Amino acid sequence: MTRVALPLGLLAGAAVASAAAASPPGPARAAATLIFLAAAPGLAVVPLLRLEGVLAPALAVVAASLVLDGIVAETLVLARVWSPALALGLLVGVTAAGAAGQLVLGAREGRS
Amino acid sequence: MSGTAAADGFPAPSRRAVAARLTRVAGYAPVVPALVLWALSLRHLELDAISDFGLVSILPPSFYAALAILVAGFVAALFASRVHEGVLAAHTAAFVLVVHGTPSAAYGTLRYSWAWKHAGIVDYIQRHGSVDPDISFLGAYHNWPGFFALATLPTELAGWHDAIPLATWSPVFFELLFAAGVLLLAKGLTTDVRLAWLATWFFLASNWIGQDYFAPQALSYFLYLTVIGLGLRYFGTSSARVEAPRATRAGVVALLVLTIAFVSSTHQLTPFMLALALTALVVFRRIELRLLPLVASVLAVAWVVYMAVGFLENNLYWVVDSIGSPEGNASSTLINLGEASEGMRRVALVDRGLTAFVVLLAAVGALRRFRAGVVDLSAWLLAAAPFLMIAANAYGSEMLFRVYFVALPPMAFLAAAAVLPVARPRPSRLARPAAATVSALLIGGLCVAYYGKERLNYFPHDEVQASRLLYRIAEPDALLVSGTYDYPWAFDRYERYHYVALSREPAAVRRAAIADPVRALEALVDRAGAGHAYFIVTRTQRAEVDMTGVMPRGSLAAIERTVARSPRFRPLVRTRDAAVFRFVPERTA
Repeated sequence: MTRVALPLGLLAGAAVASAAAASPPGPARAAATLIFLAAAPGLAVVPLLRLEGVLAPALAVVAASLVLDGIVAETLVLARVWSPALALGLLVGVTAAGAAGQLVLGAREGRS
Repeated sequence: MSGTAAADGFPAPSRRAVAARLTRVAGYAPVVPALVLWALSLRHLELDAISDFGLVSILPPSFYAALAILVAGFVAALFASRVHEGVLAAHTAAFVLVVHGTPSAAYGTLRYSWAWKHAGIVDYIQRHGSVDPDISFLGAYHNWPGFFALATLPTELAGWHDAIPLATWSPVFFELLFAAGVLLLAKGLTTDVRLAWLATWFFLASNWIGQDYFAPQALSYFLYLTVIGLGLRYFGTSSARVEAPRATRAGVVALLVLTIAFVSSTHQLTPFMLALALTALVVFRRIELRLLPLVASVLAVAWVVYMAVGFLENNLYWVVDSIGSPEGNASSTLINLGEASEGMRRVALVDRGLTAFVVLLAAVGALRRFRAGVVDLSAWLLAAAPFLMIAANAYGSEMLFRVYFVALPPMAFLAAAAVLPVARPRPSRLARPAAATVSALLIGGLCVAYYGKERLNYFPHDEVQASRLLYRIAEPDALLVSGTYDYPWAFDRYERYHYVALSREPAAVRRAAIADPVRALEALVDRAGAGHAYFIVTRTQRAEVDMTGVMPRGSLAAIERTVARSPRFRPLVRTRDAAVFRFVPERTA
């Protein structure tokens, strides 16, 4: 159940963040986008590493999120094609790909 | 004995299990009154009355009571027969909120002038969609833009006009990340959970440097801790290492390399600190990742050579100048106590005393561990490696602070070992009062040292409004003259203006400004060849002059009064906390 819950939650979170970013400014928009940026990209990739415990995975999630956000943003800035919508789109793509990877991996392990 | 059958047929939890659960829940209890007392302490802070001794001059007893409760709660949880990490985490988070959230919650404006400048780089990216590596002013940020590009993303997506809302709560955000990073690092050094948590607690209680504001250093420091922590945890050679499948280890390596690559593009100093630390750990066989120091070094140097070469060419003179002069690099960090105000002198002495106390505790801890048959070579190496950087660079007179900052996590670990030298199911009777006493001493020093310059860091609303007005009306290419750079500046279209601060001018110019302010300011405007010029003086600038002794006490206030009487300067705003004057060309005057 949890193997399905996290990737589906991530996909829902990506959808919410995308919708929030297109909505008028306000606390809800700020909260949705900040939470997505701080956690979602990391939550998409770190569970694939199968780290044990709570602290190391949690820290890796935040670090991976900040690093992936930063690399995407910095690449767009240095390439002079900066666009917040494009950056969000790329991060939603990373999140969706990671979530899909988790679903596939979960299904394989379920079969075996 | 172990349990009783319930009437509905399900076994009732044993008394022992119920008692254990109640004990765990009770462990969280001190956090609630502590946070209530803290919230109450914020209600009537007289920010205008902050003295040269910093925020402690106005903090009420309820603030210290909140800290005392947290210390008592943390120590009780640490020495409980069973350690509940959730309880320790709750106390740690509350401590961070109380200490580092107080300025954010109380001021209502962004603290610290450098944070405003950093918001200015985000503003630049928001407007241009790029950086300018050849820009003359604040060029380092354009050459290592990782942090600023990252910060622009949430600023834009949240719909904020600028990065000020993000920057305001940065200290709390980063200190929480630091705490988690130090805990991971400590758990990579020991299997003793109590020691790891006490190390984290001591780190927070002695981290007075203040590098937790909205800056590349804070982000790269967290990533540094993550790399070292994960490295020790998954590739260390000690018993604290976690065994993991090959796929997991490969994934961790990929994450480490990606993180190191991003750090290399984010900060000038941290990539080299990281390469040094990893090299020390590999040379002394404390981690197995032999290629990682090489990767870190190549990435750090490659960024400088390929991406920041323009900046290096323009600044090579002082980089080369400071290589091999460790004494000069170290001493340039320390303030001149002879010129500082009495309050600032006392704060500086507490800074130094607190630092010396941590080093002493670390030495005692290392000795006690050694006597117990444990040599924490990894901690020693991580504490010593940053000091090599003193020989390499002055880092804008900040090197000693940065070295202490990077060396602090392993030193806090060794300091905690002074209280808990060996893991035991029941620590010695003296350990509990020792932990409480050391915590109280460290936190007492922290309150003075960390808050000690708040008279220079707090900007009243009037000051912020005056600065915003200046940036709204100043024409492109205008010269913005100030008494010092300690005010909200360079946050809005910063590259359009030229900046001069009297405090940064040669002594002759400063003397001339005191003797004849109007003529000296005219000369500065002529020198810049600016068509438009403004003079801004604020309360925080006056405080900096008076506290640091860069100019005679009261001289900036006197300059402001003289300028206000001159027909060559037209006041645009003049309140108790800030004044902005427009320079009037001679013919018009």
